[in-house]
Amino acid sequence: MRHLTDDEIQGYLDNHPDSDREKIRAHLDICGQCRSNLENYQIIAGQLNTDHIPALSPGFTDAVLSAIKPDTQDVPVEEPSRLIAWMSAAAVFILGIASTIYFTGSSVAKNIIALFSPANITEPSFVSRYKEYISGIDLDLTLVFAVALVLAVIALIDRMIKRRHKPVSFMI
Amino acid sequence: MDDKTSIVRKIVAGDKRAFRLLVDEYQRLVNHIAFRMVSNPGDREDICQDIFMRVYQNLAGFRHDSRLSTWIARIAYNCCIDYLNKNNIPFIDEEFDETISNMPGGSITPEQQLYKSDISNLLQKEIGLLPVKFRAIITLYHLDEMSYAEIGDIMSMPEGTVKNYLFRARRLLRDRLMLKYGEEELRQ
Repeated sequence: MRHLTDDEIQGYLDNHPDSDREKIRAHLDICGQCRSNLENYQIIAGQLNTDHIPALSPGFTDAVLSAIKPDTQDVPVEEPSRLIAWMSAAAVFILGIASTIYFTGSSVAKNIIALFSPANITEPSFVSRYKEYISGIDLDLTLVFAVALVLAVIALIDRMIKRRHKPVSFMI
Repeated sequence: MDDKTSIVRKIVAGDKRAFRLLVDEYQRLVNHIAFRMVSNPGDREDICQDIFMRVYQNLAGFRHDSRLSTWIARIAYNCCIDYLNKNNIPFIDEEFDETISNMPGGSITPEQQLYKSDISNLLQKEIGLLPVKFRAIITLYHLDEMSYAEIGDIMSMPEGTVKNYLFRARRLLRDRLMLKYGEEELRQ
């Protein structure tokens, strides 16, 4: 009588699909030696299935959580305010125009306007009315500078605050 | 959407409470792997922490093409392998001598006599003498109830190799216990 191989016994123990269970069971019914081998493995498997491994410390989860950089994921990532972005652009534009007028004199501005308003082109009536309205305004350059500077400072501070609170990507 | 998919999405979206649940649920699995692969008790908890850091960092890349437990176990296994490499601890034991007389502790010492009535203690000690990969496979199969295929996925080895290592490991343990206890005593 051929005894079961070790692989056959262990395959039977593991309920392995490749094992011919009926044939093995029939053999085990009549062979004390193979049955004894299987029982030894069953004892060992029973021990291996029991968890003897000491658990991690009770504060383990807290330690893992605290190892994640604070507020890495809790602070929502905010896009820069659209209003602030427009204010920044406006500040730069106004500062540019105002500087040009201030340092080169208003003649440059007039030339630029003339370039886009050739005499042979008939102005629509609303443009003429707009020009009259603009010429009636006494433009105070100091005021323009002040407004532009305030806008620029607000935009700068906003950028600095955003950068300070920007979440840092988690690195190991 | 199942629970695992939901928890992964929440963590990726920045929900730390969801990550806490994940750590609580899988720390047993991670601890099993670290305990069996890393013999220095002082390093185990740090390694477990490092494993969860890697899980956190890489969770956005989890594709749900395997069970979450398998994916986490793979990270844990690789993390332990990195530790062994870093500390020059050999873990490739292809040439492992399975002759019982050549294994450490072949004769019963007075200390072991104390454990003679405690098979489980001796078994734990014998498991510690097995090659690292054998230990990992025994733990994943018996304690974490993973299939040969899942273990193969975790340890990047063919299913047949997993089966072969598992059978060899159990055979060694059986032989070691039989040598020390004898068949009758083993069954008492």
